[in-house]
Parts: sequence; C-alpha cells; structure tokens
Amino acid sequence: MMSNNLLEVKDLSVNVEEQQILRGINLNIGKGETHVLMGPNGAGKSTLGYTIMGNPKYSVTGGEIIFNGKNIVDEEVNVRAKDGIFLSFQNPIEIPGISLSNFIRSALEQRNGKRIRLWEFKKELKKAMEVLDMDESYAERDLNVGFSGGEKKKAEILQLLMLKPSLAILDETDSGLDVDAVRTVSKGVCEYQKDKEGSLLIITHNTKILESLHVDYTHVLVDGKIVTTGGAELVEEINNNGFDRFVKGE
Amino acid sequence: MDIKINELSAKTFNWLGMNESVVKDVPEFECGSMVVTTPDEVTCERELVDSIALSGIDKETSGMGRDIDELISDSGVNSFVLKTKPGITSSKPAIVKVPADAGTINKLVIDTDKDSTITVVMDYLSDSLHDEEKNKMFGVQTRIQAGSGSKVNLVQLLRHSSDYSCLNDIGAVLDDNARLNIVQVILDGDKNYMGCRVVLKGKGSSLKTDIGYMVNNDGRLDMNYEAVHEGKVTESEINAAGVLKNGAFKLFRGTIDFKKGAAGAVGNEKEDVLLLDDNVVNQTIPIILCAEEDVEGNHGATIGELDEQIMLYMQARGLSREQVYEEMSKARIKAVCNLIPDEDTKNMMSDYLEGEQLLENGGEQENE
Amino acid sequence: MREKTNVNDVDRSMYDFRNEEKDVYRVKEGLTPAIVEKISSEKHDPVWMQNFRLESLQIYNEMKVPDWGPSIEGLNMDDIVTYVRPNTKMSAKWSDVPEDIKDTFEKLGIPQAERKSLAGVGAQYDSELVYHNVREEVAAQGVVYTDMESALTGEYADMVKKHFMKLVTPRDHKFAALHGAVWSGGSFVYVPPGVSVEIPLQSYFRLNAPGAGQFEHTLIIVDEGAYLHFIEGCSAPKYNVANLHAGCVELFVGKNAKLRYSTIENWSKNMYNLNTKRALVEEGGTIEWVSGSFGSHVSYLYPMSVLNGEGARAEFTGITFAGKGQNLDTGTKVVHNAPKTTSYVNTKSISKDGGISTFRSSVVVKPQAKQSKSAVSCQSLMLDDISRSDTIPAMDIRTKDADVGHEARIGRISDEAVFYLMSRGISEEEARAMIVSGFADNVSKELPLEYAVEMNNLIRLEMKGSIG
Repeated sequence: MMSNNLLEVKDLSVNVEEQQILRGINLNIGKGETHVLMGPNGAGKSTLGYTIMGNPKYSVTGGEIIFNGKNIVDEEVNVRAKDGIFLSFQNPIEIPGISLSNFIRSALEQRNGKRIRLWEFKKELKKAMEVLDMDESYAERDLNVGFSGGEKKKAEILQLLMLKPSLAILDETDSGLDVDAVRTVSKGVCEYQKDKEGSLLIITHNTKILESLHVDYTHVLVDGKIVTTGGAELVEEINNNGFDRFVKGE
Repeated sequence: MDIKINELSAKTFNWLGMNESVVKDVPEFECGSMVVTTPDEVTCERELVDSIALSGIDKETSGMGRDIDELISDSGVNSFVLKTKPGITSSKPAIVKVPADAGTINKLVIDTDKDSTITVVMDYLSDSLHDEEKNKMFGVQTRIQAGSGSKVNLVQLLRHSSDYSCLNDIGAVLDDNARLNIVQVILDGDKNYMGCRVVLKGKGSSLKTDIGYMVNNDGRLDMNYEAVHEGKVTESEINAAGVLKNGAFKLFRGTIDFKKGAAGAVGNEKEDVLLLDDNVVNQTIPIILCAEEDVEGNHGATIGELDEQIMLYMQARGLSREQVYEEMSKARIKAVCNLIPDEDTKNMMSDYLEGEQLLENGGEQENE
Repeated sequence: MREKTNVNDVDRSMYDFRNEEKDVYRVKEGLTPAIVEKISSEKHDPVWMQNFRLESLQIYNEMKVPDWGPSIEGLNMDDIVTYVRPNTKMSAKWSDVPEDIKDTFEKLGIPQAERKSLAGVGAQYDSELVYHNVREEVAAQGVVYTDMESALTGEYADMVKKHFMKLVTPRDHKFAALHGAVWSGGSFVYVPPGVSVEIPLQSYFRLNAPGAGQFEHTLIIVDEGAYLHFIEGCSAPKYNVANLHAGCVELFVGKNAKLRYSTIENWSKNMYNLNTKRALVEEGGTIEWVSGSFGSHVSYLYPMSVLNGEGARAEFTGITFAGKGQNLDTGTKVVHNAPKTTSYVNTKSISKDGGISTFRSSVVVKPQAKQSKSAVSCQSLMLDDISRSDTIPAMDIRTKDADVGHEARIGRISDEAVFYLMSRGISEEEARAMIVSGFADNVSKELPLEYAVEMNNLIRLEMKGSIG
C-alpha cells in the first residue's frame, strides 16, 4: 500500500485568517484511486482542496502533505501543479484578455518546458472539447469571461483532460449544474480516468456525478476532522440519512 | 467680498470651470440664531469658535476649504457643541432649526464619545416674506468628531425658499470603527453651495452619504464631496440623485482619495441625474485618487432624460407628461427621504412633499 | 489565432541605442525671435509661415505653463535645442539614407514593416524627415503622403495653408504656441473623396540628439467617404538631459469618412511629451484613436475629438503603463457639437514601481447635440503600493436629450486570479504578466499584429522582475 501512495496527508492543521479550520487531517490516496470527500457545509472540505493546491490564504499550522514522496507544504502553487496536482475550482475565475485555448497551451508549455506544436495542440483540444460537448468557439473566448455556470465547469474539466495531472481534486464540480451538464462533466471525468493512471479526490454534495465512477473510498469530514472512512456504500448511506449520525457522534 | 470654495484636491483643465467656485459679494456675516433641541442623553453647550479651533476639531479642512473657517472666525460665531456619553444611544434625535436669515452664519459641532449613537436633524427654513432685497445669503458649518465605535446620523433638509442662497459645509473626522451616515435633501434655494469632507482616519470607519436634490429655474447647486481614506479597511459610499429643470445649473465634485496605508479600503460613488429641460447645465467630475494597491474604487454615472418606456407606460395610465415628470422627480427625492433614520422626520418630509409642487415653473414661464 | 503569450522577451536596448551626433546644422539653445527667423529661413518657409512662427513665439512668451498636471519643472526651455537637422536630404529610396540613420530604423523594424504591411512610410530623424515613400498603387489612387515642408510649397500649398494650426491654434496652450513657432518635419496626408486606403500608412519619429526638441506637425485630411489608417511610432534613446516632444496632430475627417489613428509611444524616460492631437469630424464621419503610452518621463496627452456634423462618431481606446520615474497624464477630450453624435472611450492604465498614471478626460455635450450618446469607461490597475493612479473625468452636459454614462474602476490584480493561474502550472511572474496583458487586450486587439506583438513585448519587459 505504502509504495502505491500518491498523496499522504499527515496530521494536517490549517488556519484561515487566524481561525482554525482543519484539525489534524489524515488521508492517503493511492495511484488510480477515486476518493470521495463529503460533509456538511463549513466542515472544511474546500479548505482541504485549497490547501493541497497551496492557496497562500490557507496557512498550514501543523502536519505534512507528501506528494510523490516529497513534502510539498512549502512549495509554490505552480510547482505543485507541475508536479501533477490539479484543482477544479468551485467558482472558476474570469480572466479577460486571455483566451481559453492560449491559456491551456501556455500552461502545457510551462509544464513540459517546451513548445508545443500548434497543429497537435489544436487537434487534441478539439478532441477533448468533443468529449465535453463544448462548442469550438469557446476555445477562442476569454478565459471564463461571460461563461455560464455549466460552461465554466466544462472549461475546468477541459483543462483537466488537457493537462493530465496525476491527482485531480474536483471541488463541487457538479454544484449548480442540471442533469445533462452533470452527465457531460462525469463523462469528462471518466475520460480522465480511463487509463487508470489518474487519481481523484471528489468533493461533493451530489451523488449523481459518482454514478458512473468506481468509488474506492468515502471520507466524511465534520468540523475539520475526518470522522469516518468507508467504501462506496457510505455514499449511499449519506444519501439516505444525511450527516446527522456523524455530527451527533462528535 | 469674494471667497474661493469647493476646490478640487486634484485640478484639471481650467476651461471647464470646475476646479473651484468663487462666491461673489459674500456679506460680512453675523452669528445666526440657530435653535437646538436635544434629547436628555446629549449635552449641548455653546462655545466661541476660537476655543473650538484650539481644541483641534477644525484641524482637517472641511469640504468648502479654509476661507469658510476664516469667515466664521471673523464673525465671532458662538457655536453649539453636542456631546454624547460613552456607550449611550440617544432615544430621540437632536433637532436643529436653521433659520435662513440673510447675512448670518452658524456652526454646529458634534463630538461623540466611544460607542455612542446620535441622530441630528437639521432643518433649513425661511419665512416666506419675499422682500426685494437681493443676494440673501446664510451659512452653516457642521463639524463632526466621531469617537471610536460611535455612530452619527446627520440629516440636513434644505427647504429654504428660492430667494436665499446657502453655504452649507461639513467637515468630519472618524475614529476607529466610527460610522457616519449623511442624508441631505435639497429642495429649493437660489444658490446652494455644499461642501463635505470626511476623513476616515480610524481603522474600519465608514461613511455613507445620500444626497437627493431638485434644482429648478435659475437655481444653482455647487457641490464638493470628498471621502479621504486614511485608515485600513475603511469604507465610503457617496450617492447623489437629482433632477434639473428649466435653467438649473449643477456641479457635482466627488472625490474618493485613497491615501497610502489605507489597505483594504473600498470607495463607491454613484450619480444619477435626470435632466428635464434643454437649458440645464449639468457638470460632473467624479475623481478617484489612489496611492494604495489594496483598494477597490468604483464610480458610475448615468445622466440623461427620463426613459421613454417609463414615460409611455405612465402616460398610458392617464398621466400627462408634466405629471409624469413631477411624479418621477418626487420619487427620487422620496427614495432619499426614506433613508432618514428617524420616523417622525421621515413622515414630516413625506407630508411636506405631498403638498409641494416640485417642478413649479418660475414666474416668467407662468404668464405666457 | 493570435499569439500573445508566446512572444519572446525583448531587450529595452532595442530602443536605447544612440548614434553619435553629427548634425549638419543645429540652432542655439533657447528661444528668441532671431532663432525662430533662422529656423524659418533655413527651412525656406513661405512668408505667411514665417509670420505665423513669430506670432506663435509671442503667444508662447505670454502664456503660462499649465497649473493642473504633472510638474514640468525639470524642463528648462532655455536648454532645449529646437531645431536639429540631420546630415541628409529627404529620400524616397531606402538605400540613399545614411548608414547610421538607416541602421537606427532597421533596428526599429521600420523598413521590414513597410515591406510587409504598410502602404507608405515616413521616417523622421530629429527635426527632419529622412525617408518618405508610398506604394505606387496607393499614389495612383490620388493619395498624397509627403513631408510637411514639401506640402507647404507644393501642389497642396493652399490646402495646407487653409488647415495648418486652425484646429489646434497657437492660443490653445503654451506648448501649442511653442510648436507654432518652431515646428519642423512631420507628414501631410490627403485622401481624396471615396478612396479607401486598405493598408496603413506609417510615420516613425526618432529623436537622437540629446537635449533636443521634436516638433513635428502631422496634418491629415480624409475627404468625403474616404478611409485611412495611420500609424505613428515614437522612440528615442535615453540621455541624462531632458528632451522635449511638442508635436501637433491635426486631423480633418470629412463627411462619411473614417480615420483610424494609432500610436505606440515609447519615448525614452527622459522625455517630456507635451503633444497635442485633435480631430474635426464632419457629418457621418468617424475618428478612431488607438493609443498606447509606454515611454516618456512626463506626458500630457489628451487627443481631442470635435464632433461637428450630425451623426459623427469618436472612439478612443487607450492604454497607459507608468513605471519607475514616469508621470503619465493621459486621456481624451470629446466635444459633441451636433445632433446624434456618439463617443465611446475605453481606457486602461497600469501603475508600477512608483510610476504615476492619471486618466484625465472631458466630455462636453453642447445644447445642439440632441440625441447624442457618450460612454466612458476607465479601469486602473495598481501593481504595488508605491505607485499612484488617479482618475479625473469631467462631464459637462447641456441638453436633456443626451445619454451619458461613465464608469471608473480601480483595483489590483486579485490574489484569487493569480492563484487560479498558478494552480495550472504557471509561475507567479508569468501569471501576473498574463493578467496585465489581458488587461491591456482592448488596445492590443485594435492594433495590427506586429504592433500588438511589440506592445505585448513592452508589457512583458515592464513586468519582468516585478515579483519579489
């Protein structure tokens, strides 16, 4: 098991603006595994995602994040991205003046440290956009600017497919989407995992997105701590009974 | 005597004539006869202006600038000083009657202690004797020193008749977490000069200013509003909404000044002007000065005539064009009156507006 | 697809090289009637022009320096050399231009650009045009593109006399008067009715001599129903003494005509850029200004559009980037003088490293300008807390029947946006540069490709090393 570990979170404690949000998180994610993180609002789920990605607003007060055998707690965000971590944002930022296509190409070039031939890039981008039922015109539009909620989420998954990280954290990627959009997004996520190489940490309220995926582990986060870990069956249970059992168990 | 007031803190092209205003033939002012009624929780004392100057409350310039301080000092004004006790919220507002007596000037000081709340309603009224004397000018300056955590609500209702000109000046300094809410309703008057400069000195202090005005005939409204952000996470909001009719002139200067060190400050300025005639002059200069990176400043202005859709809709319900203008103008002023934080005053203004014909034409237009 | 994020960094030395001075003729420093007369006779002015210069000088001496903008104390007029003639005659053949001057423009990419995408090129070196050429097919359409001196005495002499400094008069301000007295060089363009010049014309101004002034005059007349895109580029090497640029641009846009005037200004950072630009637009005509201000120590620059005919339009798209030691006061002026006129102003400014940028504007809507529309939008970006960014827009509206809107925003690069880009593997420096380039996108997408690339290079250059 140890040798297969991609991400090891050890006793992680995190503050946001002097307030403690995470209180000693332990979490191991192996290569190719799919983990689901659930929990009531304000439990700290997004905080965990942001902290693994390295948002400077979230200060690590204790513990380690080991990724590919290296403690990355002090690494810059872009270094973590180059190492293979990807975070799909709950609210993707609008950046005027940079087209989606140019942006993905720059990100890829920074990552691989070499120029990518335009033709190859275009071909691959087109393929990925087809998986996501995205109109090609989006490629030339400014990054997320004026995109609807669903289009923004698709643009995130498009980046996931193009950048091919070894760990993808999906933060509420399904929230606010209609049934069709959820289906398209989960199609994208399946595509990412189809060669069983990529690992997933899915933060969600919704179980629709999980239907077409094989879930290995489910974690329940309450008040900054993981209170229960189980298999796919835990998703079902929470679906039926909510978090009451875990909250009361405190 | 001529005085220079309402100077912009950042000058621009001189030919626009917006950099400052010169008030001509200012009379030698005498101390006016303002009447102040205070609730029990508030103390009211009278003090000579020079001793106030010594107390440092005039240290910052006001909206109009230093000339007005000199005028007040020269006229030997005995000013009213309102003080609150720490932690006390006044049950009722202090009511200040400002009589429009030609050639008089008054001064009011509001000095609030820690965590107290005070509401001050200033009502500007003239007796309706329209005598022949021209250039009838009066003035009032309000100085505010808001202690930490205190809240000051200042309401000014300018409803003196159209043969009086008014110099109305405000200068305020806010300590940590102090809040100042200003509501100004300007309904009449010949030439009204409004100055207002608020220094947000303390961390977390905030200012909200709402101005509603109506300028008709050959009335003139000359404004200079400045929010100076010195403290961290300070907030300011200046909203001005008004109506210009006949040969009205209005100049609005609004400045948000972010000083270095005002990290996290937010300043918003909004202007909405309804123009009802072709002879109006509407000048606007909304300035944002910024010497700090971590701030957010916004300004927006919409200037123009009444939306044709609204006009059509209301005409379809049986109102004449003139009635629609009247209703829409009143609606703007009422919206500002609704922000008055005292029910009695709000009702008083509501009744007053019911009885007023805001868009009354001047004498010449009436007799065809 | 436009390439924006993959351009290579350029070295500022591209603009900073300087040539040894070997002018054939240089007037004394300072300004007297005798000097003005000397310039005039040296240039073989017609009599009216000589008189015009002397009158302008008098006005110059009477007028005060502006009391509202950035300080120009560092500019001592007595030290500025007003006329420097390079050691060459104007040429229409690139091969005839002297080596060092040719080399200058080669380094700046001017002849390459001409070969690729321009209909005509003028290159001014110090006070005189050294090269002027226009494509045959464009000339065949009747388009005139020549230096101002030739225009004064040539076939179009009357037209020049009729328009010269009629739009920007010497009384306009002190530096317009100075320009009237000592102007030299610049271009005259005439586009006949109905002629559409499909590819842009360009003038490039290069000031090589230290302590000198450049006072070129650009006069463009686009006749009824015609179209022209004119591009202006400016640069100078850095010296330790103040240089002055007080050019004047007068644009006459005829009925239903359209003129686009693009400028990428990259004067060196010892330059006082006190330039005056103005367009008069007739019925149904359009003026489009595209303006990028990157260089100069101090700039006063507010291209003005006078909308004189019904339905005339003005669009202004600008970007100003103020870095270390720069105080750039830029913006625009619009006068709505006729019914149904419209103006759209969209500007961005960036302040960094102690630079000061000020957006200054005025929109005047006259009583007769019924059913006119004006929308002004300006956004400012502060890159650190030692810089400054001010917004001073003025509006004067004198008819009810106008629709005037204005919005201004000031702020910084959001941490969230930087984090978002970094989370996709982009370095902080690159992320910030990308956001700033994106911020400037409104201008770069209005420019021909080569200029957009140059502008992005300039931004990248300015943004380099802006972290830590």
